[in-house]
Amino acid sequence: MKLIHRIGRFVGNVSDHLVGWLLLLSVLLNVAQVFTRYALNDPLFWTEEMVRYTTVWMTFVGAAAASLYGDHMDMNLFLDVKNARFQAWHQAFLQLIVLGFSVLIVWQGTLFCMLNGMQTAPATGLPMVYVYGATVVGGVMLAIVTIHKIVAALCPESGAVVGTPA
Amino acid sequence: MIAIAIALTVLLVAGLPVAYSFALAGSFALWYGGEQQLNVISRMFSGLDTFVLMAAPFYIFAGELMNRGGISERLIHLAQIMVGRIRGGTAYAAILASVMFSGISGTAVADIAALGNIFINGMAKEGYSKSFAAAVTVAASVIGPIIPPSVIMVLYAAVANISVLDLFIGGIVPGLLLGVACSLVVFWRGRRGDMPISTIVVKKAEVPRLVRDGLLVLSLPGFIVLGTMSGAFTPTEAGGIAVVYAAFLGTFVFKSLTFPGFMKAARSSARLTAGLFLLIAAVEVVNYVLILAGVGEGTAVIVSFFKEYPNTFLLVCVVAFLVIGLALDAGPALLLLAPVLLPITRSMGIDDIHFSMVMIVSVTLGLISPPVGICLFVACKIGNITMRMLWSELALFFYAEIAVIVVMVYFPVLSNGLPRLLRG
Repeated sequence: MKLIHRIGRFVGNVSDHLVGWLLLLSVLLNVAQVFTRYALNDPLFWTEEMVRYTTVWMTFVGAAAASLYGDHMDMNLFLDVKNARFQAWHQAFLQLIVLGFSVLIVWQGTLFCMLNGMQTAPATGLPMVYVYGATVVGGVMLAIVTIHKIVAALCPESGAVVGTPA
Repeated sequence: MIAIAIALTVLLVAGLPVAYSFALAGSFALWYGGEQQLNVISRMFSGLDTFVLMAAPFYIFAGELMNRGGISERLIHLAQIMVGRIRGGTAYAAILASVMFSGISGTAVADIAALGNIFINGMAKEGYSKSFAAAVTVAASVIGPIIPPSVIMVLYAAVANISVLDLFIGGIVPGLLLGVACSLVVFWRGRRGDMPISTIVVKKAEVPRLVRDGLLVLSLPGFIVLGTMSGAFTPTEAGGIAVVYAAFLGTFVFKSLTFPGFMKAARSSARLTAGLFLLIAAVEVVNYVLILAGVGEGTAVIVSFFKEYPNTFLLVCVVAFLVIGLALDAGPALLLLAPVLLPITRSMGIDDIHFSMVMIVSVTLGLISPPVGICLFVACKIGNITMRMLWSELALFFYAEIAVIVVMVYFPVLSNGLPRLLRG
């Protein structure tokens, strides 16, 4: 049990730090684009494409961190139900559906990579598997975090901490 | 069509995050219609494949940096000085600060998080009731996503294929109108002269520095709008530069931003972005299903029904989104329906910017409408008050803001006048 929590939090934190750096990277690419256009008069042709792909990675990898720290938008109709058992099972049930989502994107993402992964990006010539692969990596990370959340909801005595970013 | 509606309702009511609900409902409808699940992935990618979208994390990041760099305190101070020591001064200052802050923040929640603590608790010390203090701050926070830069406008522009710059410029007048509406309510409430006078003490020597700081901060939205308008760079590039500018101000001018703080801001902005973009990707899946289901034929019926009464149709849309806003954040609903609604309004002769602006303001009001408005939760938490207490003071502000929407419906020039004037 402890191991599940440790792995869950670790993966969540990795996802968190990764997307932070990805955001920084996209800012730098963006500034490089403007700089080379005006200062060097020789704009880079591949930055826009790279920024778009960075976004794709940020989205799928960041889903795990957003899930761990509760940053996803939801309706919360049952927030006022005070019954702890209900809350635990409700949470576990929702996370089970999220697990279903992560399985879906890992499974279909893999198929998608196998079908279209060998295409290359127009500007950089990057094989698209490096872009589409984000669904598989992100999906696996989300699944790990979600399992951690399910266990945390059902066995609160296992010493899980869910919430607050590092 | 019915399959997806049922699946979506069940998942949302169960409390699943909106992004997952959309994606899974889309997946379910595809399965139900005998389509390939591979479409889920390919539609998600095509939803994310827009350069304009990248502006959103940059504006979130820049706002977050400004906030961590001690900007909010400076803006609040500046607003208090500008308003001066009049009756209800701090209430007006809260509105003015929100207007100024909206120039660097892209969301209403960012506004309330930055200004809420200082105003809600600070105004209570001056003698306002806590619920009134919270109501003013909450009411003014909706200005955040209306005055540029605005995250919802970036997302909307991406899904609806509309110029984000036109939306930005179009938001300026409605944003100011909302500010005026809030101020009128404060004036009305204080008509018997029972509002506290602001107790702010300002040293004369500090004023020039505060004004300089304020100008430095407020040059950011000006820079974004003017820079993109002149064609010097795209809105996305402007966002990237805004981040650099905010980091520069925080580190070297205000000297309150450290590297760990900087990375913390990057991470929380990136997390928020991941959530938003997953939603955009999922919206694309549902959209695809709606197109497959032949939503186009349904729209023809609506058009023929409302053909002679475009304003009535707008009002119906406003009411519909306000009602959706009661149950959940109506933003995702708008993103979902905008591509369906825009062809309808176009064929009725309603201007794109006019329609979009009215819708964006309506959706934003959903953030402050009970029982689930996110800004209400934040304000209640900060002020330690109940929703009922807050709403008893907020109601008047809320109705005033609805009045602004009605005026916007009947006077399109308020929304599209400025973009037309500046962009021809």
